[in-house]
Amino acid sequence: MKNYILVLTTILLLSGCAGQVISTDTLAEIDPQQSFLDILKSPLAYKGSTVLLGGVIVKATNKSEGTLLEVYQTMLNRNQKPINIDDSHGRFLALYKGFLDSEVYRSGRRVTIAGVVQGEETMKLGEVNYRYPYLIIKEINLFQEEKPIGYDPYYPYHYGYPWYPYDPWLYPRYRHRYYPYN
Amino acid sequence: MNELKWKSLITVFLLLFISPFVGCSPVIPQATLQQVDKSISFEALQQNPDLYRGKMVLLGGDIIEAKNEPSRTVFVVLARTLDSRNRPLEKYGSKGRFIFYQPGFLDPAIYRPDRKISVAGVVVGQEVRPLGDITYKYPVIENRVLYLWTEDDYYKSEPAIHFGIGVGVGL
Repeated sequence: MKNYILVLTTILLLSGCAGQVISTDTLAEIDPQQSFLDILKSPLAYKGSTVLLGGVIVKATNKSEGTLLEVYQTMLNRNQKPINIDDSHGRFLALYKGFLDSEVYRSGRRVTIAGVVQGEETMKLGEVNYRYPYLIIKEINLFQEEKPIGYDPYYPYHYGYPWYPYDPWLYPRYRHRYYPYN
Repeated sequence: MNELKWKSLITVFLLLFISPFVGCSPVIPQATLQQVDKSISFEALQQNPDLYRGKMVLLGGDIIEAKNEPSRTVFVVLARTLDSRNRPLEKYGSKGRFIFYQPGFLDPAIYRPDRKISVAGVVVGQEVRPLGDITYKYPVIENRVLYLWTEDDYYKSEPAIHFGIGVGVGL
């Protein structure tokens, strides 16, 4: 009985931290007041400090010194997960000293990065000379890909769908009304 | 006590009547929509963009390219027919392309090809660019209001309740 309670308590305690993706030690180094806009404006002012940034990967490049991620920044929720991925203040570069496969860390995937600001790097983006804050990654978390909220779990097999096959909207003539992307 | 009962009843009724309209707020502000010249068809605009210089139009479609320039982002868009909510729809095909300028920096990784946008803007002229082996005349619009559609906008589009009498025939 005592064991049982112990196990339950442990599970409860562990589950409370399940959302956290960056270690507590690293999080402790981060200034909670930091804003990406400030870092973007003057990366050099933040040189040497640990920052927490997240967003969506634009490109991952394998280089001799490591893997360079180009990321567009988005907001993080309180579990440090990037949200509102259509809103961004800008981009940053983050170098991981080691190998990350660019097929895994590919364009469109969400990452949260705790890293140390090294300075800035200017690269061409379209016709703009874009000044990227440049950091070296201490910790990185890659998030699972998500289905859109309106994702139809039944498509294309509508068995289990309550009105199949009597739903008139299911058939090609009217299909676009409910399934605009098919 | 009785009065309170009536008050809560009225509140419930009001809520019931108002709530269906809340979800349908327009993505382009009403004030902007009022300035849009609805008599200009896309075909007419495409044939002679200079004729409509200074007029406000409402267009939408699929992003073909978003390119960053020092003070603006230049979009090339495949024009689509818009529905009642000003959402571009693929099912009617496309009448052509247009270009619009958006002041400031918008990230092409967000405004990426195939994503759907609606824009209200002022016609500023035309631009001829090579397209494959031909040259293509693009109407050029300077943007005032831009809306980027998400996939959810398309899925959540239909009202959940339909009223109507129907006879079903599967075809």
